Amino acid sequence: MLRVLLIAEREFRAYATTASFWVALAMGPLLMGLAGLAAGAFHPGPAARVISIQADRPEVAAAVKGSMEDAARLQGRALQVGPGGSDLTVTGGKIEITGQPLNRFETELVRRDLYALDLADQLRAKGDQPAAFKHVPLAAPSPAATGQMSPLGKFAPVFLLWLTLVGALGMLLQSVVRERANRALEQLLAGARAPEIVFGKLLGVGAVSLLVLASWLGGAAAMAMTPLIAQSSLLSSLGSPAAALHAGAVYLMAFLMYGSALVCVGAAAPDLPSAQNLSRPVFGLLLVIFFLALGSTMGLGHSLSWLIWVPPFTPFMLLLSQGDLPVWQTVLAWALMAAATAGTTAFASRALTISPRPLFARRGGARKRLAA
Amino acid sequence: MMDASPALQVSNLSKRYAGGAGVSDVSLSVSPGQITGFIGVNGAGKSTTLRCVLGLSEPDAGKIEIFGASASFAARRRIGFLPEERGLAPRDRARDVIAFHAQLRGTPRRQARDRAEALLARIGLAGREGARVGELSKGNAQRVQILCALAHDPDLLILDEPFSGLDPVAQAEVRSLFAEHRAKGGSILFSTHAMSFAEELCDSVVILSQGRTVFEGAVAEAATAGGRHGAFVVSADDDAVLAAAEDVGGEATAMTGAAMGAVRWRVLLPPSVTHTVLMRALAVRQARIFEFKPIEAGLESALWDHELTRRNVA
Repeated sequence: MLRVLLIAEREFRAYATTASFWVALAMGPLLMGLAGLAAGAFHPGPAARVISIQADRPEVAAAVKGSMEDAARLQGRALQVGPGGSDLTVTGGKIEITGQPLNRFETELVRRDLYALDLADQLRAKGDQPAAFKHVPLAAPSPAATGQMSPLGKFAPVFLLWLTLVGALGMLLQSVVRERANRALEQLLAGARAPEIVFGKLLGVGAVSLLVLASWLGGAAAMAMTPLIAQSSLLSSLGSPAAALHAGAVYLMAFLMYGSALVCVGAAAPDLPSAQNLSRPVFGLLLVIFFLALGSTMGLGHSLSWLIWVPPFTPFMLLLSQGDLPVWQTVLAWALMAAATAGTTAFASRALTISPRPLFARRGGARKRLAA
Repeated sequence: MMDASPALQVSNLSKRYAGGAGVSDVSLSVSPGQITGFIGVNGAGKSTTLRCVLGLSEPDAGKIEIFGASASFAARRRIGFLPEERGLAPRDRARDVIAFHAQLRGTPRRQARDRAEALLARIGLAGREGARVGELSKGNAQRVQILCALAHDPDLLILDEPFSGLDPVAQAEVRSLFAEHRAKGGSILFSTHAMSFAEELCDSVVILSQGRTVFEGAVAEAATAGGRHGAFVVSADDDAVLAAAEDVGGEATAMTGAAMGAVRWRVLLPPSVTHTVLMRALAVRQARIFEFKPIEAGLESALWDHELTRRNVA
């Protein structure tokens, strides 16, 4: 374990001790924040809601006002009391609206409060003593909780995973190839077991990508403060602790699976150009997955749900499913992903100890060199 | 540090690759407190043997023992290894990279740093512990990599071409590091193409040819058993070279690989015949000579003998 941590620390330092890394790291949230500010500046937001209320009793007027305040707040709008908008007249439990009509959301909230008030009145008429009516402000329901996730919110975790993987896999590939090409890997292998090197590299590069991910999430959080993104952002899709935990576990497993596959590629290549050629299918596959996931989010690929049983697709499909799968399918998908990860990790460890030279240096041979 | 059993014992090692390269029957022994040279032409199987010893390749057959124990991961931690091709990350700091290799083999962090600083001071890099490898000269960077092999104070050093690319001053420092290591009872196995280093430093040599051990023993024994002096002669007049060799009682063997109509010959001479006598004989035969390179009796000559014998057998 100590050797794994040592190798991880070394990998992490290789990136984190460069000024360019921190500059690049800061650029993500900075650009997102600037984009959010720009969006806020150029997007004036919804117009204020203007209402006037006339009621036969002050408590009725207060209830209706409370309902309209709730509705305005949840729709990201300001509420103004005055003429020129919707004029609400409430008499004997009946509501009359002139001017701008109430939308469905506003109607439901007003109806809710008037119903509660009416119920209290009826109880009082029967001689009971109901609790005094008190308006309770509504909390915003999360899209994940209501199952009404927007396409952006649904795709956001998939996009983040994809982006994280593409960035981290490139770093991982370079890390292996560099040491393979100059044979520093042999010196490393003389002091550590191959699986320790694989996990050390995965852990080190994983920590770097986690840092990048955290900075992006920070940027996204800044964006979420702006009126443009509001409730449908990726933050709301990861909002519940359970959803965040699920996404985190999927990220981890996906990184281990793809990362060890890239270590295999790096170990099999004698130099960087060969490694880049050999890794193209992996990155090509990731691109295919990206578009399939995007299509699925837009409702174009319902028939693609079977891809969850194909290991490279499994993490992405798990994220897209948003926990809608039956328990047995979820368990089986996780088992499949774990088995694939164990397989690629074992294969990566094996690949590290196989010299690519005999595979790539056939022509010429020792005898010709001897005679030259 | 001293063990009664050999520091390294390789018996009948065999490792074949799909394309046919590898080793077929390698045996060697490195005694405690001794320096052993591992020599052979390119492709003879030195790197394959070292890879098997270090656990980087799985042998097909044969036995490897390190200080009397089977070559396990734990046993291999007593080895310090320097690969032939040098590659340290340019951004690594000299002290950190040496300490990293020491820690990898179980040295505590603080002790590893102290050891790294002491080693750097030993080769004249005191004050530059924090320098990045990329900021060091090529020679200094190579020295740092050699120190990585020494970082955990190993009992057995295995070095692949440790002198390649070093200037004479650095070579002298490495030689003195070797001497210090041996004085402390440590053993060294190093491969080299520079026969002069093997002759100067080694107690014994192992000569490999086409994947087999063809000689193992003392350096002096290797030089006297197979080493005859002579010369490499590149000439376009085959008959003249053959006649000149015969004139002086020598023996000419054509080597392949000559270019532009010229052939490279290896002419071995009787002990009493000097290079000058051979040159005179070539002049008398009016041979057009493009190159004349003397071969001194010793390891280099012995290596050629073994190599050519194996090739003729093949």
